[in-house]
Amino acid sequence: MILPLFFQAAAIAASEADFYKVDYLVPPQGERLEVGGFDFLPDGRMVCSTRRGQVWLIENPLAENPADAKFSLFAEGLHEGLGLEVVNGEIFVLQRGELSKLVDEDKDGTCDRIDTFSQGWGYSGHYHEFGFGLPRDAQGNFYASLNVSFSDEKWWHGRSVAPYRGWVLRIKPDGSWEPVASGARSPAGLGANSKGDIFYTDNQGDWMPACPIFHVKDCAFFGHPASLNWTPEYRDNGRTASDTDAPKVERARAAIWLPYDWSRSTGNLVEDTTGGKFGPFGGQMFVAEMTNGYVLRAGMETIEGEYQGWVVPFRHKVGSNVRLRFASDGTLFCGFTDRGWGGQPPGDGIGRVRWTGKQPFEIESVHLIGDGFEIRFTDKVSRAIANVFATAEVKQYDYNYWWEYGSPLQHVTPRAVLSTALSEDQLSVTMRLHGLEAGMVARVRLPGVLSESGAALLHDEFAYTINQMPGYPQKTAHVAKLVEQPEARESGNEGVLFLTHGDALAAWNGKGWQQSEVKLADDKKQLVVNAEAKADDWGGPAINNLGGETGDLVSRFEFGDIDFSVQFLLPENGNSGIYLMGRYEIQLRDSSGVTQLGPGDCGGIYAGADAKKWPGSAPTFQTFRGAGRWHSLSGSFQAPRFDAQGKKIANAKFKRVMIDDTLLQEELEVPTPTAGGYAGEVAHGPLRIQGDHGPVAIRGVRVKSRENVDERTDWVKIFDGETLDGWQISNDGKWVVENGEIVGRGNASHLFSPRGDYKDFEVRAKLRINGGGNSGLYFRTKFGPNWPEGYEAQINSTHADPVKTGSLYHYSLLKAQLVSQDTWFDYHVLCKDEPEGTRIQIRVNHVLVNDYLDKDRHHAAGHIALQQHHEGSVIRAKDLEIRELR
Amino acid sequence: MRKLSLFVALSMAALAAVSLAAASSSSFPRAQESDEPAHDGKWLYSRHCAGCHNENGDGRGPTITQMGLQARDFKQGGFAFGDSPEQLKRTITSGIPGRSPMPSFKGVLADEEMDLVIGHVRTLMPKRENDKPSNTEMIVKDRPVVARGKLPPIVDGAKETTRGLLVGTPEGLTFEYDVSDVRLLGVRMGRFADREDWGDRGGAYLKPLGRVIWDRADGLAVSVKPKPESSYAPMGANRRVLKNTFATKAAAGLEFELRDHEGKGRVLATIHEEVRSRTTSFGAALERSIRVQPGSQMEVALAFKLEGSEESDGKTVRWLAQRRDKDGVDVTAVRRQSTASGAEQWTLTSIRLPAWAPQLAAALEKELAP
Repeated sequence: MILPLFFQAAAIAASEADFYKVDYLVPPQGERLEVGGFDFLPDGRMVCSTRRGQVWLIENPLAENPADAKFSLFAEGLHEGLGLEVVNGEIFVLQRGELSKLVDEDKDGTCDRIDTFSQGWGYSGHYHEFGFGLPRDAQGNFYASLNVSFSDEKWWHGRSVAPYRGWVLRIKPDGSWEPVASGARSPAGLGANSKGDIFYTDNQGDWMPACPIFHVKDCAFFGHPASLNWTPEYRDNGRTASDTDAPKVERARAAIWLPYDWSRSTGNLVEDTTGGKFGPFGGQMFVAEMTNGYVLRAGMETIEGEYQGWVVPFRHKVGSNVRLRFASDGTLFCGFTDRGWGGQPPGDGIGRVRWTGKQPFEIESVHLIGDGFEIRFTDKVSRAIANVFATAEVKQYDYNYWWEYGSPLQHVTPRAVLSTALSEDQLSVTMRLHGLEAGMVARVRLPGVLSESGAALLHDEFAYTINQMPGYPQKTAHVAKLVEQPEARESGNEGVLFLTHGDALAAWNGKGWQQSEVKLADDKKQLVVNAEAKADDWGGPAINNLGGETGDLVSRFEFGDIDFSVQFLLPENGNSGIYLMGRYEIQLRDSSGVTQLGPGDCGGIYAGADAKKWPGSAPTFQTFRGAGRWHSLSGSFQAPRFDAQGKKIANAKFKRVMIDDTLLQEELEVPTPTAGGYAGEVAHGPLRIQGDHGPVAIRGVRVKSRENVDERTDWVKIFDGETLDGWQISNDGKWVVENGEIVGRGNASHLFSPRGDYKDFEVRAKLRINGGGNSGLYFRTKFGPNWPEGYEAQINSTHADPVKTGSLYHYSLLKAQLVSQDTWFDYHVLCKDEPEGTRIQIRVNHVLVNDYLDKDRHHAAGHIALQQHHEGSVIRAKDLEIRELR
Repeated sequence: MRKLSLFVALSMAALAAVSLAAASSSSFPRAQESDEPAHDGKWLYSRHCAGCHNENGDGRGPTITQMGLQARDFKQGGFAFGDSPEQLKRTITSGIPGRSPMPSFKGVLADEEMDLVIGHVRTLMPKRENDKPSNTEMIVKDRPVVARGKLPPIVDGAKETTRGLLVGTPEGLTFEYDVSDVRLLGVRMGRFADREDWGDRGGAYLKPLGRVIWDRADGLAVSVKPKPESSYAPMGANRRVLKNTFATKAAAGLEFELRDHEGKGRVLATIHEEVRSRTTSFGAALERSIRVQPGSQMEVALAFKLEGSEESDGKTVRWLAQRRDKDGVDVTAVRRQSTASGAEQWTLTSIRLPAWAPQLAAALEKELAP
């Protein structure tokens, strides 16, 4: 196809700055303006609230030279201030726990009284419980939105533990308030259109497959279940929303799903009501975007009574936009903050976008017709419409509505362009498409559209969220489609192997590593022991190297397909990494301030020794929040696959990698080990923490094997789930069956299987030991009182006995606490005679943790038995099965 | 007109304060009576400070040693109430309320003499590279500051306060409140607060930096509740709801509404509470004024519940002598006044004295009487 090339070559290059210029106000020396909200006083001064709880007055904000805008501190000490609105000259600021009115009674330019205008919603104290605002509707009601918190920072399930977290509130002019709509997750921005309809934006995460714009209607439910805790249906019945089950509540449909490559962290939205002072987009919405630093432009139309619409990029790389507001002269003010997340520089302050007066050649608006779009442009389109037809790219997609963090695009389907037609006035193109469907987003790229004067489109792409086709019967399909929920990754700590609990170093080998709490040294370049810190729920102290002669830390166990999470802490300029299977490295690094991220930045997958074969993969975001802070790295990894001859048939794959609540890698195949990884590729390998690039500390290492399916069918039940008939009990012990489980309580005793001649076998069971409890799975044991003869696979999570679950008592001891108390785990023991001795292998949660050869063959054959160690210990067992080896 | 009584329970102990007498076995200090020749900082230090802090600044001066105590060791640094000239001046001016015998030198040393002493004290301190406070520290200058945020537990074992409020005074006192029920949690002295929530993603503590000189564990709980006609409302039945906070050059504090316990939220009374520090010739004191705002259409009265306390019969000043220990006794004076606008106002002044004696009561009463 020659035409498009020809036309593109002829296109006149234009840049955004030709039409919209950006400049930046200059805050006082040393002050960081982390903008949460801003508005204008009747006298033209701007007033701006910040995340630091300061409120600034800005004289002359419209000055030609931005340095002429002068800042003075009006108020300080607020509990944040993520929404601000001026009403009749009075300043309203949303703090975490209240809406306040700031009064300067003596008019000296300093606030002297802060009135509590409205309060009463909950705040548990969690960092993520931000409160955002603060648009008003036609009746003068304010609107605020409340974030959920995360009680479990390992899997980032949003929770609502304080009233109306995850709701949008309406605050009336008399200060009373009511919850309006639920299902929000991280509703960082609100906005009103000129009709007074309220919209809010949410942020991608659990139950939010991407960043949406919702119309806020009374009683709407936007999809995140946590907030339902405060509905009468839940509250009155003592129910709490599930983390992992989709609620049976009708969901609202987002008016617009913002493509994730355009908006990863969405702020507020404002309508252009400047009457043309901002250019040709009057009545359209402008949307703040932090991570990419974009301003997006969106339009909505009402179809069957519901808003839906389109979005296009408007201005790139303005700064970490979270707040937008138009000034009377048509300037679009942009408020920035990215503290804690990392966005597009500048990460704080105030920018101004101003129209130069030149008309950009842009998609002006998009209108959905039954089987296609009518696309209006800001200038006459060239009559060479064949080129538009030839080069248009149209695809549709939808998302999963699920508890996973975000959703990949699903059902991505190209749509054929049937025809394109130019309107008489040359200002619009009607594009008819084959198979356009409701309940999907259509993403349309039009590289072939040229203006009559030969200009290319400044932005040639739009995304339209089709909930409903005009003229078609009402559809109920969602873009975010309810799918079968993935299996809960974790219910309690079931299936998890803890590698840094208890005597943690026992699970690892590594030169120069120790176990102690750490903190940043005064010079910030080193880590030092922090004697004051208390052990916390991450399972005791971190393990760390403090620099010097240190090597890598390598787990004593090997893994294949796993879900994992690790907490890590680095000093300034710190550099470490975690090698999955000892081979595939996730880089851990102080990447503070890095804007061009590479594979060597924090959360990147490092390049291979031969970068041509594997160039590495940069993280999608800069997530390193600073030296001396704990970060949570989590993810899911798949080992390479091999055929029977040992030939690799599938590459290793990072299914996902996250740092804190940010997704950095997804479905990423890695064809070779990364540089510095062990040579060759295998089915199982150890976790390996890089320890020779400087100080690093880790804690809370959790691994969950996904190799938990045993397809062999020749397992035989030892316990039928009903009775202990035939079993023998020593020392008059208290063994009973409850709910299909064997339960041992009371005095020390043992429970012996009916048969006493097991010799070579595999035995497996699901077991649960209480806090402070101690038990053991005996085999090749002989019936008898007190401590019987035989091998014992130890069962002990938190009893004082340092010998923990996974140990072969007397022979091969493990002192790390691999499993939690009060948590079911899978125990698997293999015992068989080999020419050199008796082979004993112990697996915990499908991971081999002990492999021992008893050359002296201490015990030849016997019963399977369970131990009850002491009064106060409670052991539970079920699914006790054996597979004899012959 | 409906009648309403207000009941103030001062259940056990009181706000602490300082007595000079504890530091000196002779008499209370007096303002200089005669013109003395100008002296340098070292001379003034020897005369006024070295008795406790010692000539070399190690805090082992003869007077304090005799008392079996040790004063601040300047040589070690780590000043509890700050070591900037501004902060040192505050400490010297106000003294340190609570258990410390550090007196107020207001009226003893002239302003410029304090500066000279400060100059000398700073030569005894270890040298520091950077005197600048961290950029998240809030500093109270010449005007009180109100700050809101999540507060850490005020004492070990207490809960954090998710909606907390600090009122910092220029004299270096910090009054710490829980906004959810407008309850005074305690009082601190020293540097004001570190905004830890300016780090990372936010949500961390607004961390008060002063030393707690009084906390709830000490037992003082001022609660104002309506007393309809003859029967008391049950404890805690009404709600206290923050109405505003204020901080002007003249005053700082908050107002709250006392609301109907029926849950309808009817406002029974509006209470205006101001906090400040007060310098007396007996040392630094803490002061709270509690005023029932006019316009509540109710007649109000205030009563005190005393536990193990003594009180005077004075009509305008009542004494609550509370919490004795071997070093002294905490005393709170409560004065009732009618303001110009007709509102009833109670002022609680708390001070620590070495002993509670009639002559001290008389002297204090004279000084505090309106």
